[in-house]
This record gives sequence, C-alpha cells and structure tokens, in this order.
Amino acid sequence: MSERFFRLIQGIYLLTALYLDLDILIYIFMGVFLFEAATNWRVPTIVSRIRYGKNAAARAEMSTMPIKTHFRFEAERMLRLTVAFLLIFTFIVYPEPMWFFPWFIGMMLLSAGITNICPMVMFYRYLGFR
Amino acid sequence: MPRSDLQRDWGSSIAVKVTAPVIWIVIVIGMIVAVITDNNLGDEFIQDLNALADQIAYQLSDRLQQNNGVEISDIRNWLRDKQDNSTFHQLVLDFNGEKIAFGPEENNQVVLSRNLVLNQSVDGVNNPQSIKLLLAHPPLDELIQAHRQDLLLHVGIPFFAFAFLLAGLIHFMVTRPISELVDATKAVTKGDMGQRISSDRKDEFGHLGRFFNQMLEQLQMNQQHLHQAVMNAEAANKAKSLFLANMSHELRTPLNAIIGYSQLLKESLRDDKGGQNEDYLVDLDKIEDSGQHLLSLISGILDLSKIEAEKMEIVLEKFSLPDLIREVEDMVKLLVDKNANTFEIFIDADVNEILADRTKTEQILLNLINNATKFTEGGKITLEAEKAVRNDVDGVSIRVSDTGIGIKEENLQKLFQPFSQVDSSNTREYGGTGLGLVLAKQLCKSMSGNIWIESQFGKGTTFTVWLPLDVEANLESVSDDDEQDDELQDPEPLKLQA
Repeated sequence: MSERFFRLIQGIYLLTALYLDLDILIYIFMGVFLFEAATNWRVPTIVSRIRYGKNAAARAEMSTMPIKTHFRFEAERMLRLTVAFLLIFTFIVYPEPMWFFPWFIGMMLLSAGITNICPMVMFYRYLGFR
Repeated sequence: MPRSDLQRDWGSSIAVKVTAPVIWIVIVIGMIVAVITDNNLGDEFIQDLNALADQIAYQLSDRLQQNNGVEISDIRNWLRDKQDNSTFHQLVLDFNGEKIAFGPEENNQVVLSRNLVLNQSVDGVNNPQSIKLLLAHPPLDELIQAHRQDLLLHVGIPFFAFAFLLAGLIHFMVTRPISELVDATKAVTKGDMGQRISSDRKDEFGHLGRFFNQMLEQLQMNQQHLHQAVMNAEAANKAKSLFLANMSHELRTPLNAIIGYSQLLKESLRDDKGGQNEDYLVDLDKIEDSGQHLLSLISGILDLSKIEAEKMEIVLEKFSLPDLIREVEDMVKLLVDKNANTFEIFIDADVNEILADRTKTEQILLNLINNATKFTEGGKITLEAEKAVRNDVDGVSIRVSDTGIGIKEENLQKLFQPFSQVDSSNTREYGGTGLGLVLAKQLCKSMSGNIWIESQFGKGTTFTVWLPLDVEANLESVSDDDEQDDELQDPEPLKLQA
C-alpha cells in the first residue's frame, strides 16, 4: 500500500467522522497516528510487507527517500506526529475557536491522497528529515 | 497494458502540479470564509429563532382572531405545517393547561415561550384570555455544528469539483499534446520517420508541432541523402578493390616476366665474356632493379588495400621470436653491410614463444630494419627485444634504433601516411615507395599491437613495436581508443617485466 493511498483513506475517514459527528472515530484516528509516530510501524509499510514481503517493501520505501538527510527521523513519521498533536490541540483542547482545523487537516490529507503531493512531507524533507 | 512513466509517477504530471496548489488555496480560502461567517453565529441564531418564534406567534394570533372564526382543525394543520418547515422540531399549543403538541420532544431541547393575547373567544375554546405557544429547538451548539458542516460541505464540494475540472482542462490543453509529441518521438526513435503530429492548433503547441514536423522532414531527407552516399561509397570501394585486384595481377605478371628475363639475360651475358657485355650487364641490372621496385610497390598497394578492406587474414601460429629475429638478421646482412653499418641484436632471456602471424611479424621487422639501414651510413643499428606489459596485457616490445639522419619533429606526422616520405628528395636519394611504415603500422594493429617512433634530427631514430604474446586472445579486445593508437609517441610507458 502506498503512502499516497493511505493519505486518501485518512482524508476520507477524518472528513466522514467530522461530518457524522463521530468523536470516537476521531479519537481512534489520533491514536493510530500517535502509535505510528511512536513506533514507526506505519500502516502502509505493514500492509506492503504482508503483501509483498519484507525486502520488496523496504526497497520500495528506500526508493522514495531523499539521498542526503540531516536527521534519521523520517518525514512521514513527523507528519503523523504533527497531525496527531494538531488534532489533539484543536479537537480536544480548543475545540471551539479552532473548530475548522480538523476539517482543514482532513481536506489536506484528501488532496494529498489525490495529487500525491503532501506539502508537509515536502517541508520536512526540505528540513532534512529522511 | 504496461503503465507509462507518467502514469506510474502521478505526482509529476503538470496537471497535478498545477491543480495541487489550487486545491490548497481553495481549502485555505474556504476555511477563512467559514471562520468569518462563523463569527457571532450563536447570537445570530438566537436572534433568528426569536424572530421566527415571534412571527409564528403573531401569525397564530391573527388566525385565531379572524372575524369569520376558524376551525381548530385548521389551526392544527397550520401549526403542523409550521413545525415541519421551521427550525423548531416541536410546537406546543397550550390552551389553559390543555396542550396540543406537534412534533417529537427531544432531549436537551431549548423551549421558547410566547403568550398570545386574544380579544375574542375562539370556537372550541372556553373563553380563553390567553393562549401560550411553546417552540422547542435543538441546543444552540448543535445548530451551530450542523450549520458549519453544511457550510464546509457546500463550499468544499464545488471547490473540489472546480479543482478536478481544472486538472482535466490542463490535461486536455497541455498534457495531451505533450503525450502526442512523446509518442511521435518514440516512433521516430524506433525508425518510423514518416511520423507526424497534428499542427492545426494556433497556440504554442501548434507552433511546436509545425516545427517538429519540419524537423522530421529535414531528417528524413538527410537520411535519404546519407543512405545514397553510403551506397555510392560502398560501390566505389568495391570497384576500387576489384580494380586493384585485377590490375595488380595484370601488372605482376608482365613484371615477373621482365624481372625473370632480365636475370636470364644477365646469366647468359656473364657466361659469354665480351667487352660490351659489361655495359649490357649494367643496363640489365637497372632493368631488374626497376622491375623489383615496381613489384614491391604493387605488393605494398595490394596489401594496404586488403588491410583497408579488412580482408587481410591473420594466420596465427606459435613460433620462437628469437629464431625469427635471427632469420631476419641473416636476410638484412647484405643491406646492412652495403652502407657500412653494424647491426646488433639484444634479446632478453624471457623472450621466447609468441602466438602471432609469423609472416607479418617478419614483414614488420624487415620494413623497420630496411628503413634503418637505408637512412644510416657508417652507423649502428640496434634491435632490442624484451617482455613488456601494456594495458594489463602481456606482450613483447621490439625496439629498432639507428644512428642515421633522424627526422625533424614537424615531419613526424607524415611518417605513417601512404606514399609519403619525410622529404620527397629522399625518394631520389634513398629510394623506397613510402609504404613500408604504413604497412608496418597496419600489420601491427591487425595483430592488436602498435608502433611508435622517437627521433632526433641528425642523431637517429627509434621505432618501438609492441605485440601481445597471445594475439588470438587479444584480437577481440582491440583497443577502441583510436586517438591513443594514432599517437606517434607511446603515451603509456611500458611496464617491463623483470
């Protein structure tokens, strides 16, 4: 499974949960992202390994990584961490003044899934994340 | 069907690269619009609900106070209709404690109350002085939440649709013509020079298309000219080779006759002693020498043309190089003595057998030594043979040095060109055809070797020949570095084996 496809699913999932007012789904979403950020066991990587084996998945992942990096921490992992914390901050801590932000996150994830261009990942890679 | 490069890397498409920022801008603008419209939404909702409650209460009062009276069933229908079409999910009409409710009661509902003051009695009502209307609506935060969701959905869907439309438009206007150009280029690469792309458009792509087609037409013409030129050149080459083969045979036959008969005549004149015979012998010597010279010239031309036509056969055999050198020494003894030169040979103990063409190796050595003896008088000619490695290939290096007239640096370039001697006056003074060194170089190269020269004018010249020990193994790995092979001086110092 590619990161692009997973972003598409994430975007649709989050927007659906927000529209239907299903807070539990959003909490699950945050939990999955925090888990992925903490362990680096990302869903696309796990699915790819199950489908294609460990080596093929690792090769596919390495082919998308920039050659020169300053940090060993991966940009995709940083994305999960950032999104999780932004959601916690805007959905739980300050839901009223920042009510639009989860919608914004959902729409950006959806557009990243459609276009395969994620500005946050690009920004982190520019900063030197792997 | 295999996916093209563009399909595999979706994010690289121009359409996507343009659409993505548009989507981001649209999302940001949408959020800004949503936040701005959301400002004071709660107060607005309260105002609107109160206004609506007042309106319903006023309309109800008016209906109830109509002069011609009104049936209670009409009031019920009217209230039901209002409940269905307003934000209030429940309307309750309180007739002095008797409640008529329209719509379900919900948890956490907020109730607005309006007292209707009537001046006259209403049919079916026992002289009420007032009727209360209760209007229930969902909590304010629920209303605000629903409003926000609708807003974002109604803003987001059209904007995403716009983004897709934009991407489609860019694909149609930009990506499709580029794909057409790519397909045409691929077909041309495979050899289909008749490919053309449509150039009806009046935009930049139409312009590009027209010039692309012109370029293809020009390329096609050039290709046809080249093809014709190649055919002409091949025909000319074939004719030349045929001509040379026929003519050299036609020339050799009478020449051999001339040489043979002149030798016969010389023999008979020698036997028949007489005063005038000495003069005839001199003349016959000249006839024989001229015939031999012409014969060697024809042989050299034939060999050169064979090499150029790649028809020179290499006959490989294992032979002892020291033995060959000794044989050559015997062959050139007369020539060496003729100009009062000395000939020394130094063969390294490691030099033994070599797998090469014996005849051609002999020819190379003879050519070099003949040259050295020709241009040296009363001097020394040296032949040194030792093992040497070149480009990691084991080989043998043979150096023929003389203390002759030497060659000026500016004349070195002419050395390996056919029919050229360093100085045309040399032909008259020293003889020769100008083919010896050219042949020697070509023969060396045909055996994967090479030949170099070092010379100092007035002091002498050294020719260095390098041949691999195993010509057969190196025939397929002939150096493709033509520039290096054409250099006169050895660019890579030989690694001599101890």
